[in-house]
Amino acid sequence: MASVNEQTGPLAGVRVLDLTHHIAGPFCTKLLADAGADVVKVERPGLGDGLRSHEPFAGDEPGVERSGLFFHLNTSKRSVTLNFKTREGLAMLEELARRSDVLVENFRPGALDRAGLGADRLEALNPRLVVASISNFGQDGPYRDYKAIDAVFYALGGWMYSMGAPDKPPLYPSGSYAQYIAGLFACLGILPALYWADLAGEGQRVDVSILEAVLSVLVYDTVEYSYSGIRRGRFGHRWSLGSVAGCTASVQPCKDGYVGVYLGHGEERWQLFVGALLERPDLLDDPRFAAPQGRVQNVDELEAILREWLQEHTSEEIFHRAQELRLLFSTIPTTRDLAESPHWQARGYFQELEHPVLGRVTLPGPPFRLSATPLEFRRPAPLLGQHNAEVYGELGYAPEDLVRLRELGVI
Amino acid sequence: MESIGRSQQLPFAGIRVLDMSQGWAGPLCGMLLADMGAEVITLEAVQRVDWWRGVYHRPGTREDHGWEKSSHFVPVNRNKLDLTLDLTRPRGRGLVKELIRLSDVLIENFTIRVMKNFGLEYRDVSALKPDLIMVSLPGFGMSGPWKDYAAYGQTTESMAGLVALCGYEGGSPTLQSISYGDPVAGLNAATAVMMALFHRRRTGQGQHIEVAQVEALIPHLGGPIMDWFLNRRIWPRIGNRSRWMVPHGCYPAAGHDQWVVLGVASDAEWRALCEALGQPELAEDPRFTIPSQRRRHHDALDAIIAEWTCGLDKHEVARRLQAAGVAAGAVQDAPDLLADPQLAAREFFFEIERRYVGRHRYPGPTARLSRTPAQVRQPAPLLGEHNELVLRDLLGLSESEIEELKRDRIIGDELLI
Repeated sequence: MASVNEQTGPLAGVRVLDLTHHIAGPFCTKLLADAGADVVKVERPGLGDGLRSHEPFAGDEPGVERSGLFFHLNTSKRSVTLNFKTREGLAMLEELARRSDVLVENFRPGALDRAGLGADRLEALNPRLVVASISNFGQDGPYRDYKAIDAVFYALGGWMYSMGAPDKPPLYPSGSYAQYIAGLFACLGILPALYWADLAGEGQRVDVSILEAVLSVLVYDTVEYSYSGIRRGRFGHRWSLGSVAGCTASVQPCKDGYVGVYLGHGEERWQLFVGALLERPDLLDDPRFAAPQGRVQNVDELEAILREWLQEHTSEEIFHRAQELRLLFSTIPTTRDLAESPHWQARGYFQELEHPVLGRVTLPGPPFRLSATPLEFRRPAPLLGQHNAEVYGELGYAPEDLVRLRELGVI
Repeated sequence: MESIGRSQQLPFAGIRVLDMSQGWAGPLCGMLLADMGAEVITLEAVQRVDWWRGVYHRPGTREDHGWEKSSHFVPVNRNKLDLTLDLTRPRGRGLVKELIRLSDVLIENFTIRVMKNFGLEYRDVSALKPDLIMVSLPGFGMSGPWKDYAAYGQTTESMAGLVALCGYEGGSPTLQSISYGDPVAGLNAATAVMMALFHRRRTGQGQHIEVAQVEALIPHLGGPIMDWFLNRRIWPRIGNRSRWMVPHGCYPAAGHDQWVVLGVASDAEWRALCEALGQPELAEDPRFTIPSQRRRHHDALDAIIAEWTCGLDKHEVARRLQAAGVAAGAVQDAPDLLADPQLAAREFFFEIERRYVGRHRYPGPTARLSRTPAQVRQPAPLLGEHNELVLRDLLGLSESEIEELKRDRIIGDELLI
């Protein structure tokens, strides 16, 4: 293990063998790498991580070094190529596993066993190793080998049923969110396991199912049903907890686009909203809206009054005026609005990195800030096999060995 | 303190967490630490309980222990101890400072003004306990022009750009069905705390963690944010279609409001779908042979698929397509989830008895560790349930001092306002 003093970050000195591809696994190992761990990403010779061939590409020109999404998800890592279906390749992988603290993989369940690197073998190689597996449905169960795409996670996981309008099909959430959460849950398994390995000297396995990760952020739907039999339906642009909660959350048109109107809970906020923001104190005495249930029952009339006012104001005006009244409204920024926002600029959130092929690339910064050991982008996403000589050199391979291994297609 | 909130066989046994947060994000962070063995003391006041208990917006929750029956509070507070302290009075603030001296981690998600008013900013609490790890979850961060603005999960989600991307084609921006910004902030906070605990174990150094909830969420945009930076392109809302897969959609199944999703990512899957539809000749139909043509004729293709799916049970559609090698899944609601065979086989839901609500099933721990699995030791605590345990056994207060706190309503176990 490298000395703590040589590197910075809360995980300085931790070695991670990264066998992941696509989104969930790489997002997990990106967080570990940005936190200072030495993450060695093992990729297939030639094509590498399939995400390298995924849009968006710089200038819309495909190429394994041109994917913006790959760039975002692989900061601070080193890349080696390895075909571990060859005997020599497997031996090299075993050597890497022996020298690592954590192994993360997201192959189909059982694939690592078939490659000759099952749990028993790994434990024999390195009893302190934390082995984390991220899979679509988990390492066992009747759906274990089912195919999944993001939509399948949202459908099976209960997220999609209550998305969209009641008179239309359930709506796709429009992003790979399930995979990002699964990546976080993998970190939340790896970090305690690493702590335990440090305490007790023993490694263990971590099993994360992307489907279960979805259920874990949807947490109260099944509980609400179990408590009261309430099944949450679809509410279109309006949002509801599925019961007479008096919670008003909706996305509304305004003078120059859209705005998020979030009243939340409590009479105090209602009074600020009607009295101070809309400047309609008369509505406070209106019997239709006096009680929270009334606002739910008469929501169409309430919305009509609101929309009239919103049409006279821009989203920026509404956002600032509401927030100054402690009403938790939002604008509805596009990616461009985010990039150009004075607030995120003032905080230096988006960062620039120099990449040998792409030039200067801007990307989202770390998701949290640690005062003593901040997360940092130590290097841009690696080129495919960029660190072969470096990493295999650390294992004791000479430059001429690497020429031979390349000719044999091992690296 | 002999405590039910602690377990010796888990990684964070011996770590004490004071959880001053409310709602979903902060309490989820505390629960994830509790699942891994930390002793987590959640702090409320009888004058101001965790609003996630529903008492400030749900009718009927102020009577008959309604604050103990929240389907929101209960699933994100398991394995914790509950202490009430009125922090608006000096005696309450004094006790919380004593507790901070004995804690390893402090969680708070107030707006920055509140901790300042309590005299509990990082510089204050780190003077009490130099190696403390404090985590704050402000919506927009602790600096910048919007630092005093506040956020619900929906505010976060909107401000992070998710809402502008989601919606039916040509329709309004749409919120996720869950308050997605909340759990994401909590998951990030717990990840950050665990990293800081690892660092502290090796160096003895504590620190302050800032999780600006919007900043925690923006990385989840992935493709669209990178496309803006690389190509200055803004992604339109395209409903249930995909930028890569074709066909991709949500189709009606037999029965009222029953649906199934599917997506085709390769030519082999396209041929497999045509076979499953019982129309292998479609694969050769010039309208559909290559992805760009299928995209052009997506409406016609949707009609053909829907004609097949609408006569079948949603699970049967998914089963047949998966057998053919096409990714598909039934759109499940809450009762479907509780009956789901995959979740059942993996015993994802756990059942536990809790006073005032009875026996119910809850989503279980997600990261499954083989040697030190998360343990559900007890359900979410009742308001003030562990007042005496914490004050007597941990802070060493006498019975008469505790009685006095009760009398003065610094502590209690019944909602006061």
